Amino acid sequence: MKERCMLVQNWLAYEVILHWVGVGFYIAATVIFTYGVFFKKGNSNRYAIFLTIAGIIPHSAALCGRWIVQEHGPYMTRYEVLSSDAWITIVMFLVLAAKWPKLSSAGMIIIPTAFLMIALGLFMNPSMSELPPSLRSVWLIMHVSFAKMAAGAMILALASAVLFLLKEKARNPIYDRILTLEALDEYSYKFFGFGFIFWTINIVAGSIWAHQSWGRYWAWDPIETWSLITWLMYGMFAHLRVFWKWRGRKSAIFLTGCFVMSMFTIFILPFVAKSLHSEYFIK
Amino acid sequence: MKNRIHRLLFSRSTALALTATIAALCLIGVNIPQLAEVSPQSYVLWREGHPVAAPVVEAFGFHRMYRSTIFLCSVILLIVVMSITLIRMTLSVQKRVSKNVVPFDDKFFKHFISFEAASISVKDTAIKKAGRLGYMAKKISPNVISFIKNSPGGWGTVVLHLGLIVVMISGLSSFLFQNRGFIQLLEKDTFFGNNPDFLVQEAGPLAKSFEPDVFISLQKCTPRYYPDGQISSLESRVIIGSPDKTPEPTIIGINEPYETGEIKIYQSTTFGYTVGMELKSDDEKILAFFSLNHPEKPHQPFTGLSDYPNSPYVISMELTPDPEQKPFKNINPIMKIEITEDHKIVYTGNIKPGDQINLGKKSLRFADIRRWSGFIIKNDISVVSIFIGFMITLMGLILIYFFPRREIYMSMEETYSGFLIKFGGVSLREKALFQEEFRYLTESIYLDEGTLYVGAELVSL
Repeated sequence: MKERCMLVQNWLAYEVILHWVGVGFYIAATVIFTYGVFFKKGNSNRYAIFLTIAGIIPHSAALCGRWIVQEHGPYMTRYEVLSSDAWITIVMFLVLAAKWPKLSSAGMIIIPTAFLMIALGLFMNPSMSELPPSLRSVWLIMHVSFAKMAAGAMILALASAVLFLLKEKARNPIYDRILTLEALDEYSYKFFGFGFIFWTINIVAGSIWAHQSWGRYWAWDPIETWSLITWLMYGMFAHLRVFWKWRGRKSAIFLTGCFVMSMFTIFILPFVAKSLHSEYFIK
Repeated sequence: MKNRIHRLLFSRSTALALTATIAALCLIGVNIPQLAEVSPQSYVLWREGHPVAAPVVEAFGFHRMYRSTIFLCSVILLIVVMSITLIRMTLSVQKRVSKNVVPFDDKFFKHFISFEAASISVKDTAIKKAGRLGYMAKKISPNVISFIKNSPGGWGTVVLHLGLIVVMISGLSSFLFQNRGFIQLLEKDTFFGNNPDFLVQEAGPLAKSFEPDVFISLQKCTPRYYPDGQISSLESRVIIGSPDKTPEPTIIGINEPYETGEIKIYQSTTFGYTVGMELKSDDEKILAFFSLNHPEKPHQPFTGLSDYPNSPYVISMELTPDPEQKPFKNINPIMKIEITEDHKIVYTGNIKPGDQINLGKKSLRFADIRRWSGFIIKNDISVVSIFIGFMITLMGLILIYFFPRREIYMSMEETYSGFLIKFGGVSLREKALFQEEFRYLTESIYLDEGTLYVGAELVSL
């Protein structure tokens, strides 16, 4: 018991340092991404990607270490939830930037969003918590993983939508390095599509898990209901885009609204609403 | 009039408006205390705090939103509208897929390019290059070839909406017919499936009285703890039987329900202790059981305050079931007890099972201590169809977003100097990305086989 307490205490000290090292690299990457866009420096995006990779290494080490020490994934406390959500967003960004290098300028928005999440987490209580029995289910892993991936995809969609709005409004040559308006619009819809699918899987997995644990697949719990409202908003966005031809500015603004709603559901609501979810998303 | 109703039901705007209505109703529901979720006292407090809003809320039934007429009507109407549009979608996809003849001009195709080629080998080059990009070639007529990518993707919208309809219909039938009950069972005690023995019940408006054909006998309830006192697992050893099944011992745990026929039994997260106190006098013995409240935080005692039946005593109890909390050691429960008679404390102290308290002419003995365990018993046959609906919905979404159907048509007309080649492309989604792919494909074919570019300006590769 004492040995375990010592291990936890020692690890917490290392973990905070690793997180701050990661944040340092992410800040540097953000500066380089922004510099690259505004001053048209050819290789800057590449350097920024390297810095992001350098940041993800200590960040991953911090999360993996925590996982091993506390013997469950990072989905219990605000501190670990924010950090793991930022991690998944950055990993998704790196994968997409490798596939579509032109999209790497979106790092200017994605990386600061991610490191702000980590920094916010670092100001919260980093203590570890044990897993309640009802959370010991494979469906929880599915539920949480897809919620995180949905958040990541939505941040990517938001980045594309914000870049679209900036480029459209400024009409400034400094934005020439970014993709065309049409491509940004298309990418924001594409990432929204990923987010929509992940959000759906998140709801489905949560529902199956709830059925397994409590014998009800839907309980109109505040977070469940907000999650449904967000899903309905996403559904409306998809219809407006496909059938009502909402493109460009209108689409970007609506998507930003959907993003705000999903972030509210994931991050803010568990802290303010009395819900089954807040019981687990603790301290 | 008939046409108007018909048009209204066919309309996508109606479906969208209904979706927005349901979202708005959920938004209201989540901000108003729902009778099914809060205690009656806290609802009354809310009503007193909102004297203007409360009558409106109650008039529209917003305090039980998800059972209100307006909510259910919106859902039913959405199911009807979606079913009708689903038939329309199916017909239109079938029509699109079976389309054979396509007019080849830039009015029909948004993505259109034409050029001249010297030889018929352009056809093989096109099949090869399109194949590398994942397109399947199909000969439509002697002069027209279609290249199709992500063929099932065209059905995505149909599959998605079909899944949603299944989910909504199943959800509705679950709401109407489901039966769910909670029981509290003492160790060595048995539940025989009688309806009045349920502590709490949830039944759909069309559900019959819930009398499950099972009996459950609780042998032992075992909670386990982490070193910090938080609960790590809870399981109950039970014997379950039914008229068509011989009784069998089994273990029900959190996340490990037991299923027998249409009935499913879940371990609830609640458990506690019941203490038996025996009041003895010269001429009689009364044994009474008291259920104690579960503490809010670990390491705190289980508490209870109650009148002792048919006596002047009020007893306050604080039970610490396992003061040492050391594994491989027998637990030695200790209970702090305070007995009052006419508001005067007549006894206060700690007792162990078997201890006796002398109260003058009477005595009170700590006769028994048993755990109780909570179980949820449920009968809801529509759950399977809901999950099937979920899976269909998910499949539809994956088809739509991961397999956007793309079609490229190529026509060849013989001219005096060779062949006039025309390419037209169709994509329902990701049009800008398709445009890029279309240009890349057609221009690389032109660079290999073309002689004269007929279409608009050629974009450099």
